[in-house]
Amino acid sequence: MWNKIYVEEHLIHNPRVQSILEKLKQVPILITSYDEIWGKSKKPYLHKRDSLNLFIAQKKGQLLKLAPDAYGQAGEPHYYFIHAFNCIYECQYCYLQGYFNTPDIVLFVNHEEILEEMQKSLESYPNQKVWYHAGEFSDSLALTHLTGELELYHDFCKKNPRATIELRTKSVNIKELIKLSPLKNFIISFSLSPFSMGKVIDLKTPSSLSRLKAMVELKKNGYQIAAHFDPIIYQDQFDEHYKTLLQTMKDMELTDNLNYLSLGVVRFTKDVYREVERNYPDSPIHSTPMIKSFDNKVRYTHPMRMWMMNKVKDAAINAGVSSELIYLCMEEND
Amino acid sequence: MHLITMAHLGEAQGVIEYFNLKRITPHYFEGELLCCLITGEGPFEAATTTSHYLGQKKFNSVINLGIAGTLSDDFKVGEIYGVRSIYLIIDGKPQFKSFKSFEKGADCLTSFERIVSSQKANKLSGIGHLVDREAWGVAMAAKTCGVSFKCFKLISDVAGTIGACEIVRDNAQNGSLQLAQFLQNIIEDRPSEKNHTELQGFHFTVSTRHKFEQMLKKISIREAIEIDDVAELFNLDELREQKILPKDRTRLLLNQMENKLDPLKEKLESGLQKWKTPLEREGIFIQTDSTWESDEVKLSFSAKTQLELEQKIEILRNLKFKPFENLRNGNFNVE
Ligand code: SF4
Repeated sequence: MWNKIYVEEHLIHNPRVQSILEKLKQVPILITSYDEIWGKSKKPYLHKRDSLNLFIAQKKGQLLKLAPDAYGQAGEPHYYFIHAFNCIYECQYCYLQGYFNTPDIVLFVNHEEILEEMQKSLESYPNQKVWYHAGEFSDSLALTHLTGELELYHDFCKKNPRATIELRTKSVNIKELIKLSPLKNFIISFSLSPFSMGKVIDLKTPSSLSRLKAMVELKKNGYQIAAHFDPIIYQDQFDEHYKTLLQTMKDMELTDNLNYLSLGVVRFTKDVYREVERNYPDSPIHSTPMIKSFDNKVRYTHPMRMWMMNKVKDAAINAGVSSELIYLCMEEND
Repeated sequence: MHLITMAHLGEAQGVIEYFNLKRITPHYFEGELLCCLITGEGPFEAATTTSHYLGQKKFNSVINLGIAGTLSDDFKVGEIYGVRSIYLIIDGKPQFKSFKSFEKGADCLTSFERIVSSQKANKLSGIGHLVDREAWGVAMAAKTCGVSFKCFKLISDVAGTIGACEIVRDNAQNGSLQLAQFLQNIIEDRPSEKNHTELQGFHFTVSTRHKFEQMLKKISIREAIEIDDVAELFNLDELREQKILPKDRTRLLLNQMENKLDPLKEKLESGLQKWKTPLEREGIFIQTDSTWESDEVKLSFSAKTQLELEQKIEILRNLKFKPFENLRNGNFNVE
């Protein structure tokens, strides 16, 4: 899977690094710091298909990032924690393709330092619930069988009932989770696309149906689960496709067990849009006109995005998702 | 006319003989189909010489052809590969700017220094598959001058191994001929792409042609059909029967195509018209953002008398924004 593995030399005796390397069975190349190579030159995104490198490193600088309000919990602070850069999957709309200069993956192993920062931030809001999201720069479950950090974050939630962690994923890699006990404040959220669209645009990911099965498995084990329909992309009969997805979720008894369902219509920054055009010129994403919107992001027209969002929202309510649990990713929060 | 750049005269000998090129200067050779420039080794030398010749004469493309060492078992000595991306390496570290030659192929590292140790080669092997000394400079010059750029490399040796330079020297003659024959294959004329705007009874300007081609592509994606089959989705004969100018016929066709791509376009246009018409009849004109992004509505009218002014103000007082807001919010189930 990996073209080359680079490890920061000061980490080579770190037990977590040793454990990753043992599983990968590939001789690493030692470097002083990951950023001496990673992102130094513009490596085209699609080179990840045949020459994806892995960097194992220590995250320096910002470990937590303040995020906008989410999931209808206005006023509650939300943070992203940064434990990895880039992703093994290849969703055609992924914003990472225009975000970093390289698709090479970095796994940061200084989780204790990240958790320390989380603890500090939690204490700075003594009476409030605080949210921590993984998966802004990577899928948060896809490589956890390798990295083995879940237990640390789970412990953090156990000790801190005021903190809620959301692990956002398209993976079905739930083995490590099942080994842990479910917690009210440890939520696993799955991004889902309608079945037909998912096959075309969620490249290299497990199918939406497999993701639903993973959700059922987690639910059976007492886990808190949530779903994201984001990005919603236009195709003929898109509402029917969402109805089919929601009906399947209903049949699997998922719709009335969600912590929340977030909805968002596809949007891009200018740079990401240019990359998507370059990388996936035949993608269905380009078959519907888009405009430069009020905030310079590339989106469908205002009537179109509102129309689509409301259609999917109605379909979700009809499938049994409580309307209070449906969170619309509104434009001012993007 | 193609400009072929090669680092050394030894590598270029085959090309010079095969294409009967005439020596113009010690480093520059001209023929009917192509010219060959010997750039010398090193990215900056290559960039400077290539830019100089691109400034002298008009070339359709620049092709960098030459030898490279391999860093990967997947790219074998003796084979020629198209290059996908080109990176610059200074002091063993990649530099930001990179160039693209093909969608697929080997990634080439243009290094300032020769890679003679296996340790250095190993470190670079995660960044690219091949190492050369000039491709990045040639690419830089071509891109700066806006000329299309392609790069092919014949693998001469394994980078970082002892004796690589000797192998390169010994095989120079064979390699040079192999490169020349390869070049012959790639510069043969290709059939030009089909022009979809050659439709009888329609007239396309530069901008309508561009719009048409773009929409053809989008519709082919949406409908999952070939571009050549898209026109069948529209009744061109019916449009041809209309007694209108060819350019107006094109406008109608483009409009139909837009409606196919944008499911709300017709609904929005007719809804907006319905909202505007009663006021327009009274001489009050409404202008809204054509992309629907802004909620701003501009109203304009003229009045000649106090009475006319008051009548128009009265009409405006009764103007309801709700229908416009509903349209803008994609809410079509209300009147
Ligand atoms: S799973 Fe998420 S991070 Fe990974 S490619 Fe898809 S959108 Fe990007």
